[in-house]
Amino acid sequence: MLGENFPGILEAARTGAEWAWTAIYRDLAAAVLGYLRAHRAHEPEDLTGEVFLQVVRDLSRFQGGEREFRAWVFVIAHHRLLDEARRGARRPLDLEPDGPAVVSDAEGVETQVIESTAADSVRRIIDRLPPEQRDVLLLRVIGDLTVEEVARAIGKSSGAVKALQRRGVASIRRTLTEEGVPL
Amino acid sequence: MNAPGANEDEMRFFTKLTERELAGILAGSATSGGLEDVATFFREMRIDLEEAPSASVESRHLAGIFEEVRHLQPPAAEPLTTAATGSRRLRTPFRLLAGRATFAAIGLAVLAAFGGAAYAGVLPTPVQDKVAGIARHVGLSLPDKHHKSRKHGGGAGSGVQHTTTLDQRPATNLGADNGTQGNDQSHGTQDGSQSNEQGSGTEGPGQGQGTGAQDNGQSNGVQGTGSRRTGGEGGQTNGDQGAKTTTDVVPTESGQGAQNAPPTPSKGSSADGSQYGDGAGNDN
Repeated sequence: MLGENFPGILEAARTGAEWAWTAIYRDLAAAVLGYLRAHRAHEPEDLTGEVFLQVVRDLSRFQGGEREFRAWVFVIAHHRLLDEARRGARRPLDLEPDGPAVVSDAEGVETQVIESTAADSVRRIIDRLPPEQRDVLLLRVIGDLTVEEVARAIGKSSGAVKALQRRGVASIRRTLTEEGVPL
Repeated sequence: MNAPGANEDEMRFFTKLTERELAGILAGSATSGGLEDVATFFREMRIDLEEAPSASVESRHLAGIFEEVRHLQPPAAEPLTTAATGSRRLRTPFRLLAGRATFAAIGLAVLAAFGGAAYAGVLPTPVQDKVAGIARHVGLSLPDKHHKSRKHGGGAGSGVQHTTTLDQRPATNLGADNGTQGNDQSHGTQDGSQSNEQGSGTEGPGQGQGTGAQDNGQSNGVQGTGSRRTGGEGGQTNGDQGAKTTTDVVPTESGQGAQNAPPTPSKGSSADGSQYGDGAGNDN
């Protein structure tokens, strides 16, 4: 977070100051890239670059503080993901590269879970969430958006977002409990 | 994961959670209520996913951002950074090249127009002579006022090219003036039949063009009009030759007649008759 420096940085960015854009990029790039990675974007690095280019182009239309700016950037990232999905370039959400998504053999599941690292476990659990729950939780956790901001980003009501995040958290807890995923 | 038969008790449990408690879980800070493992999961998720881009990716992204910023900023507000100066330096040679290309294009256009005029022989006499002289040095043959009669002054048969000796017109215009030329050539040198032949040569499609009036006026004017149907053979013979040299000349009935006609010796006084014509090469 840029904190109290944000207004000055934003104004400098509006005038084209490269140092300001560097500060903005370094503040948000990791989160944007993580959000895109969690969604299994085809080329998350390239898509991150496109997101920031869009931010540069549309900055003249933005008004607000740092929280709104962060939410705005993630809305752009979310829309970029949707565009990529429409183009069909998005990698299908299967778990074949890392392992089978559904394993009927309970012993096999246990073996795989034990062998996997904590990071892999996190990603697998996210992958297995229904898309809407995944969208909400990633925007809330990685994007650090409020319920209202998430609702605006995905075009749903605040009540729907709250319900989705509760279901998502419940699903994750159940998985952690039942499968003993190491973290 | 979120199976239809999800534990209702579990869902009821989460429904009872306040938004603040849920936000704490998502932030990875829950420490009680049996939700520590879930909070840990979200904390790990944030750590795992929020990985900064590599240095190379970051530099590539920043370069793209800076380029886009420069592209969007108006020139007056463009900061005088090293990169911006570099971009101006890059643009300068292109501007110079564009200026040179413009000059070159203008020069080529002038050259083409001037050359075309010189080739057509419509330049003022002194200029035309000079240009023709220069062109001769490089092996090009351009109409020359002084050398015109030698080059184009054909016999009566050429029909097309002789008029230039009288009216100073270039050979290229001759195709339209066929009717008149024939008359000119026959002027005073041949009988009416010759002059008429040449005149008849122009009776072909679109050749008459009424231009005979010009040359006839200069020569004798009468022959052109009176001789068209009575065209003699000699002139026609030459008319064939003339047609070869001029694109405007279309074979006419006189041309056909010329094949049958015996060649008529030139009675003309034109020194240029030697080139084309056997016939009434009698320009002046």
